[in-house]
Amino acid sequence: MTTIDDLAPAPPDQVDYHEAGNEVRVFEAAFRNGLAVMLKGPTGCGKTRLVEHMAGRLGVPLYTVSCHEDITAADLIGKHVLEGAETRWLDGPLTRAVRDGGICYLDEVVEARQDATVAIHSLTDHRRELFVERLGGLRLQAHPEFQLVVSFNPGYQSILKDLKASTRQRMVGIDLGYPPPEIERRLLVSQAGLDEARADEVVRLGQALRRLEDSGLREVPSTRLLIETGRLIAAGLEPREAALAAIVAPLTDDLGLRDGLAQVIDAYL
Amino acid sequence: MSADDSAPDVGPAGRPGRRRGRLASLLRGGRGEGSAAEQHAPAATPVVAPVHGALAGAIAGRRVEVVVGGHERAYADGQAIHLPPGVEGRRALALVAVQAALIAAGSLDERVLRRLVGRRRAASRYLTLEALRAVAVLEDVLPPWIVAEVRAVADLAPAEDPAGSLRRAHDDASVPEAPELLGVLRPSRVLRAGGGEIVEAPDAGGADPLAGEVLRTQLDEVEDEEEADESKILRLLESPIQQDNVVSRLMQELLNAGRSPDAGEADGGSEAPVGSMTTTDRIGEHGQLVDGPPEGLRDAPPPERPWMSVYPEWDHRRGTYRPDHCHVVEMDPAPADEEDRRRLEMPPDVALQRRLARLTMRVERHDRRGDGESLDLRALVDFGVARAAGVTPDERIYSTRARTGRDLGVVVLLDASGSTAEGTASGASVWDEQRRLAASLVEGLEAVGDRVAAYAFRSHGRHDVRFLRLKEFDARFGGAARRRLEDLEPSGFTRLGAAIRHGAHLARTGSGTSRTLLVVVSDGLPYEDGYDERHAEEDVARALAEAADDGVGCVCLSVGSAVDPEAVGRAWRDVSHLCMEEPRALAREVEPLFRTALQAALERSHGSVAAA
Repeated sequence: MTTIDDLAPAPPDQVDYHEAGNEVRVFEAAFRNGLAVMLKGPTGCGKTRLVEHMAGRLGVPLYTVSCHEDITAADLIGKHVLEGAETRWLDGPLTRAVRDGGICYLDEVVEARQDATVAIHSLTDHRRELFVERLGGLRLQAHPEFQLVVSFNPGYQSILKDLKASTRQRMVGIDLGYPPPEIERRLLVSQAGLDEARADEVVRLGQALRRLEDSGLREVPSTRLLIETGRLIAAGLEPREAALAAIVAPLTDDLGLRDGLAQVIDAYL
Repeated sequence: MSADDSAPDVGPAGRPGRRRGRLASLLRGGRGEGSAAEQHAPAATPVVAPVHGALAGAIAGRRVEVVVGGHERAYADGQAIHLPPGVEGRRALALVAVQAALIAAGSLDERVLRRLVGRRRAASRYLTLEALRAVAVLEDVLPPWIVAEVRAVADLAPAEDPAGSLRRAHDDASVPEAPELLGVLRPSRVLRAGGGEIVEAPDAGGADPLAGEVLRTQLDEVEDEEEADESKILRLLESPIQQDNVVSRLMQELLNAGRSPDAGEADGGSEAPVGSMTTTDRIGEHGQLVDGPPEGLRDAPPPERPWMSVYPEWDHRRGTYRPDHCHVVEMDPAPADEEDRRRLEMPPDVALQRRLARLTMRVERHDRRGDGESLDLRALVDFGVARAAGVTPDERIYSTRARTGRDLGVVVLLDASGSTAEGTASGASVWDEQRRLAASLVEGLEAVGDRVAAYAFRSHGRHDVRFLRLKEFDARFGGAARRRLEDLEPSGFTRLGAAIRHGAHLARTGSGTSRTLLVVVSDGLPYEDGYDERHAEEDVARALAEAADDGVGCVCLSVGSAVDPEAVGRAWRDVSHLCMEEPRALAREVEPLFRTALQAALERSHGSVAAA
């Protein structure tokens, strides 16, 4: 019988990552010193990509938890399950990473419930210990290659959902924005397979649409959306169709706004 | 000389705050108060071009409205881009893009434009130079084909800044005038709209500190001359050397001296100020001040609960509240005579209840679950006992927490004004249909365990806005409450702003829940003597915004209403408003409707500081 324990993740394959600033160096230095990292940046700017890249580069397994409002401390730390006549403890992803080493990545950590974020406190200071209450207050000393990485999107949703100052202060912050146009252009060429000229058009369109943030577009197109647009174009779609499907439809349901964005696309593609 | 105060709605690009929906409403053709198009509508009424706003905003980097009509060439006044009528397709895109680029590049700098008022040729050359500079600045943002088209106009190196372009526009006659693609520069329009970019603080020791002030009041006159050709008068007044010209300044001051105030300032002068509240302590010739209440009332017991609430009313003309303007009184409705009593069929609406059951849940603990975050010890012991006894054990041994608790408080406000006595298309009266709607809503909310209160409201002047209790939060919606509803007859008027303010107050203070909702069952049209049209609409919009700021979501539900939806839209704006043919239609819509209202209130109440 395969148990969950047998499914230990291997270090992920190295994925491409185009460094826009010094984020790779900061990340690596934090890892070497056992410091937790907090990635801040808008949706689709490459936070998860960076973590995957770093796990591959550092050769450690990656445990990713996509946080949502029903994620509790038990989901991170572990719980008892019943096996035959016995209860058996099952480690959660955080405990696994603490025991065996690896990066535990809490994506969109502000979405998780408060008790889940408090569970990480003791891991993120000099103690580097995880308390497992349900195992009789077991203290687990973190593996030297354990690193906690959290991501969140500042200003996203309500201001209620911000990371507590006491949690923030325990981490090294890396601010990620959308990469500069040159890098986005390169990404569109390398990852979507567009030619230079078309890539340039798509990047300009993205730049223009992002300027709409100040005038009312709640979400602006991310690098991810631009790459998806590029892939659709490479797959044979008309550029306009591709942009409508990959950029406009995800960003808005408002018909009037959609027509306006379609016009912007007409001007660029 | 900062931006004109009368246009507060349009901020500079870096303005903080939540802007959700502004662009959307702009694109749908809605116009905020004080929008550029309203302020200086030319003879031909311009029409907001619904779709070009996004492109303009994308390039300008801030909200810019696009308006069609008014001039045969495209121009920007700093707040809006005016397109000539009949231009479509790529041509329109190019015209919008060029004007938006000029805005983004700071070409509409007021200090520069002041030097171009009434100088058509220089303005046109300036426009050419600035367009070239703008496409250079925004090369990475603009579509390449537009950059190419603008560059094809003239093969010139762009200046460093608007001032540089201005110098060359004056000195270098070889600069070509702007072709149709670049539109036209209308400095007076920009200065009047007050939308010019202030690139840096005006130079205090400048050569001509008065010129700007004087010019602004002369702009109306200059306007026509600007189009004709270079203004002779202004050429006389403003010497091309443009240094300290005493004669010119004197003349301008003289010209300015006898001018009547401009139309904007005279606004509202035709009507006496209704809201002045200065008489409270003036007691007249025979009046006298007394300490305490009159003799007869001195021993009267104090009222057990506040029975009257006083609310302000928004006066949009002055931009202030009229304090203590409306008195809202809560009372029990008088029972009808036995013979007048008329039964109103109010069958439960199960479909509605099913939908309501899904709204707003709080996290609760649940034991004896098949899966969960922790073991339920009691269930585990039972499990062990059952096993030991050789019985098939119940394997649900976990406990979990789930979003199941009810956490919604609702105040239902039923419009009981005379206007609801009208009939609907299907023959029933609006009053009966809306009563049925209110009844099924209250019954449904009570059935699913939400906190709900219901009041009917009507008004007879601002000192008598009545709230007739149908069901308070802690009461049941039983026979007595239903009878009160059946006994009501419509009369009076609809002072909606005060009703919303009091309803929101009741929802906030009486519900005890963290999410609160105010449901107004009404045609949504405010109406009373001295409380109608723009004044009432602005007051209602204000009251709704106040409610949202306090975390109370608002919804308006109408049945068979025959009022002009546009008028209702002007009052309710972004707030959800649903007009149904019959009460049963609510079940289909209620979930997204209430959810949106609650979400909007949540966002506003947490981000109200920054909300524009």
